[in-house]
Amino acid sequence: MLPLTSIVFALAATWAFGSHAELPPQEPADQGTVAPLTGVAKLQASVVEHTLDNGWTFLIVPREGAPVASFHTYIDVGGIFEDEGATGMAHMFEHMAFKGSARLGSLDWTAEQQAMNKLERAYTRLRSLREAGKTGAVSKAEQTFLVAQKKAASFVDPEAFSKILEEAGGSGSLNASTSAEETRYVVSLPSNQVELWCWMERERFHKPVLREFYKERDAVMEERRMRVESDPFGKLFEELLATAFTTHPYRRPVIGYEADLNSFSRTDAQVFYAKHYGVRRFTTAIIGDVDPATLIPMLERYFGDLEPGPEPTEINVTEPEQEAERRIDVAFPAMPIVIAAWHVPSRSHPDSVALNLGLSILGQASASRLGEALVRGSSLAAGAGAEAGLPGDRYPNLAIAYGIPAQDTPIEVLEAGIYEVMDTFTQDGPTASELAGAKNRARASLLRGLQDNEALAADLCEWQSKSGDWRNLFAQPDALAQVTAKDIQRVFAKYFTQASRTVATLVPAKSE
Amino acid sequence: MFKTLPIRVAKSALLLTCLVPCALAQELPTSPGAIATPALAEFHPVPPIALEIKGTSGDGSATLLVIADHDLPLVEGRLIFEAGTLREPKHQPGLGELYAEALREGGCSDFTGIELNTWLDAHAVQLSFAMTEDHLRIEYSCLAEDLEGTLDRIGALLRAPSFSEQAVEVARMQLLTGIARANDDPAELGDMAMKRLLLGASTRFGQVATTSTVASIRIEDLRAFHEANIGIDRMLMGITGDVKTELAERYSTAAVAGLPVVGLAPPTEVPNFWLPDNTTIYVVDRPGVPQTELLFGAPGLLITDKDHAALTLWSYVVGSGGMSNRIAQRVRTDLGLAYGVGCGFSSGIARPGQFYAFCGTRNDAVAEAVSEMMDVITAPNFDLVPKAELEAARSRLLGGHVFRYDSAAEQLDRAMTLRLYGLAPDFWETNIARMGEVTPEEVSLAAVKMISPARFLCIAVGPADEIVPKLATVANVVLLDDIRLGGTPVDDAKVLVDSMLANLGGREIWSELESVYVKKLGLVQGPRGPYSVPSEEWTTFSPLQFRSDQRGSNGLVTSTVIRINKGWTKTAFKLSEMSAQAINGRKSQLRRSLYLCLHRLATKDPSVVATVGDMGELVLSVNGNTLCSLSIDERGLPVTMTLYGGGATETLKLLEWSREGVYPFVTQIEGNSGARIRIAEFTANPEVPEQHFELRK
Repeated sequence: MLPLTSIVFALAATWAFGSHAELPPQEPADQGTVAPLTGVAKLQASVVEHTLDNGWTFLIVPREGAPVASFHTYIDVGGIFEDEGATGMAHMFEHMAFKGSARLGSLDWTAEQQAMNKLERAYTRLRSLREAGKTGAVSKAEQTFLVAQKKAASFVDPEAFSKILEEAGGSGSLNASTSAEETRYVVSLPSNQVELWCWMERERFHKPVLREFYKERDAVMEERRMRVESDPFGKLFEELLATAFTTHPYRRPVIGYEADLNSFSRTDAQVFYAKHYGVRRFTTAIIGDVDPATLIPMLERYFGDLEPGPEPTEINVTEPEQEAERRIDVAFPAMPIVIAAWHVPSRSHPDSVALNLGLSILGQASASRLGEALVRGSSLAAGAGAEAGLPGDRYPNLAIAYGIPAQDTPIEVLEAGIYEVMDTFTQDGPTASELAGAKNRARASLLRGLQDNEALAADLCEWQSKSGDWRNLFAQPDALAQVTAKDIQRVFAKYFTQASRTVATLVPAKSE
Repeated sequence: MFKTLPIRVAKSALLLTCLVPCALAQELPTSPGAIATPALAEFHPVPPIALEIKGTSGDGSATLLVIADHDLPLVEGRLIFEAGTLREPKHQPGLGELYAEALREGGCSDFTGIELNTWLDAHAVQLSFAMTEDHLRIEYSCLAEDLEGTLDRIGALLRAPSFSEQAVEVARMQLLTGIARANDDPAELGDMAMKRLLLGASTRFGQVATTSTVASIRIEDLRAFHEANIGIDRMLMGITGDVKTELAERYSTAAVAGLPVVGLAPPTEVPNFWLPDNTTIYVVDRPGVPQTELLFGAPGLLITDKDHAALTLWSYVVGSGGMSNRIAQRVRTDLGLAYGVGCGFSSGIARPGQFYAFCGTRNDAVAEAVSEMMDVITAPNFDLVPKAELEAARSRLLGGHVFRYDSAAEQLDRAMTLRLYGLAPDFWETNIARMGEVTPEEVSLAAVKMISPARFLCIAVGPADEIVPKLATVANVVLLDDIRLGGTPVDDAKVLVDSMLANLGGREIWSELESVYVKKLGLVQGPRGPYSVPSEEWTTFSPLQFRSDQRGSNGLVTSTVIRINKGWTKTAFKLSEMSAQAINGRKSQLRRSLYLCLHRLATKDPSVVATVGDMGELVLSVNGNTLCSLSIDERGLPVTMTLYGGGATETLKLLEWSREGVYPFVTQIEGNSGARIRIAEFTANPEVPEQHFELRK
């Protein structure tokens, strides 16, 4: 069976995990008294916050149980911080953060450094020849580049960084991801490896050497082919963002455009690192069998001397108000899909709570309005749903409603069906039972997120970074408890207008 | 759990002021090896409490496993029935999935599907019904206060499901849409093709749901499946979270009260794996995309097999457990050919698992990627894994062992798996201990046993016109033009034909076969004992002509010739012209000959219809009349041929095949009567003068 309800969510989270589409309110099913969140207060009280002088914030949560710990470093740097012409660099750097340092991953650092410099010169020449269109000289420059690349590779101890963490017990969890707004580096280890994690994390971010840059760039190209160019949802989503946003960097794909990936250099990555990877933009959560009393001094010792880095660049671009509906048909050798998107405010905007709650009722519940009307009611769709916070939520972003048509449903019929359901919902508002259920689900969602060390670490970091205080994770039930049916009607009427809408449709094509 | 925390936090606040300046003064270790790693704290997961839950009918019972965890007011649970897709009727693949969805959504005598969903939404309960090959798995997560209500509702669904027409039709529509959309997903297309080839297109393991099989499923079929499989005696329950054991027992007992006893589940089949005789790449055409998905498959082992530990280590050396395995280093890191690449042996518990390898690469690099992957995969067959590399792989495998028990839910799942498959209580520990002892020699011996370097089965999903010429430089290539689901039933017979022809040297050679020469030695049981009958035969296919020269025990030759509409028999003494009836009879026999049948299948002769019979055999018919059938073994070779005609059947056992020349041919045949024929010589497309098909006085 198709993972229908999760398709668009997964697509949105392609380069990010830990979405907060469902905020945690606190209200029981029958709208009566507010049930206490047993266990949550206790857990909240156990969070130890420690910020180094250089601005790196650590959130430590000791938990009893198995001798394990999860480490989650959240860096406030994502695709929106890239320069024009260098899309994909934040994600590329994420890959390079696994390539080690001068003393980790090299068989002979002095020789390797010289070889890498030579390689960089060869690449710079190759790129300039390509840009100048001097095709005759390109072939020879390519050969020179390949020879230099081979030489540099001969000094590499491959995957040395990953090997150490994998052999220490992190083989099932060592990972990273990049979204429009942030980059995350994660691993879970047996708890006796805490100091090893400190050593490795310092090594990774202190002086990364970005070895094997161009080979890894090839792997990233394959990632783009897999996620975007060979995937109907990836392709449609990329086109949707580029159409819905005209100005804001949310319009650019996190994985980068092919032309940019084919062009940027190791030197460009070094510049990106120097500009954006100051530790003042770092938040790390460490959760599990750890003792803050011994851990904090260790964190000071390993990370206290790192430079805070430059002040974070602000994104001062405001997306102009959309004045008329936009439509894009994307031809792709696959079956149709329709996604309608509307501009909605950022996470910090007061309307976002009601919007998210409304979308939960509209498109995420077991008996969601879209599911009941279009899937179970009319069988027009095999799946339908709604989400917000795409591609991020730090700035005004997109809420979407999507439909995956049944085999004999014309796509325009399904699209009209989506609007009809939304219009009815906006007009009538949620029922008391729907509203109470949504609040209760959000409350349970908060609890479920707390169960797992990795999920809790992700949530704490995100709330700390995006709202300035991790406590807001736990404060959400109070915020949601205040939302009324009228609030939801008001925000739906305000934001889900035809003029604000962008519709992207996947149109089957035999080949591109 | 948190009783010590306030003290720890307070301590940490105090320590900060005095420790930090001291700490900063210390030198950091110069390498990871210089770090003094403390011993890992001992950890002994609390085993689950096992309770017997009795049904109301008296003689049936189920086991309930409970692990309490009072951290947060949540409960997770599972109800697992021995009712997987391997128990669906063989002709109705897809029934299991449809059943699970219709059971979940269709309501029961106490509430409708929408009423259930509304209640679940209001109470924030997550409830899923999913089918595996072996089990129906019902999983839920709820607030502790809603455990009783959740179990009540699951029990009501199981006792008296409605399978409402509306729910069944919605589930059917979703399943059909999923089938059609499988074409959009290269990994799913590849998996499907792999199953059909490796496990057999017409077996339970290789068959997939098609539009026609899903369309044929009726509500009565779902009810029958439910009644046959859902009983208290086929169930295992598990609960973990914020619940007292006595409450878990009470709610569970109430929930399953009234479930019938259906009897022990009969054993399920075990797959027969197939591999091509020579490495073959089967291409599934997916035009218009820049990347090709490559998959490799081969037989695997049971988790209880003595080689399982060695092959698990093999997996970690060659292709699993992160980025520092050989295949990731070679294909991704060194060559930049892929983003995702890996390989390994999956563990089979109820039946042998599989070897798998995967890689997505740009279309112009497919040949290089295939070659590199095969080189990496086969290397341990020829060279021992260096000890240090094996130790590193062992560390990756065992270093994270503690994560196998790091949550109550994980512990519950492991305990339930032991129960479901009847494994010893210490199975996981023994298994891990065994992996700690594996030597490089054991890894190589196991690899030699399981990996055949000359018999790789590879699937490539990508644009055929771009990748076929490139792949053809590496191995045999067969285009699987009918693997797609795309709203039409998959033609199992075509897959079988493709696979058989590929295994017999490829469609191309059989297309080009126009005539054959065979030198035979028939062993016949005569009244005075067995005697041999040597003969030579020439057959042309178009036009259909035949000549046989048979030497009798007296040394004299009898010749028979069949031409377009004439026929003769000639002995040393006379020449006889055959009747029209006799000619037609002989021609009818000739049309059933093995090599002509292979030629007609290879040329896709539109008058020949191929279907798959009840026993998985390939049945060939012309104008509705069955010509013959071929049973094909796990190696893809025809092993018996049954000839139909004139109201009688004759089954020939094709005992041996020769593969010495371009064309494989049968070297020994045994007939119904036990008579044997040995083929001494076989020539494809022999030079035969036209006058050879004429007999004169």
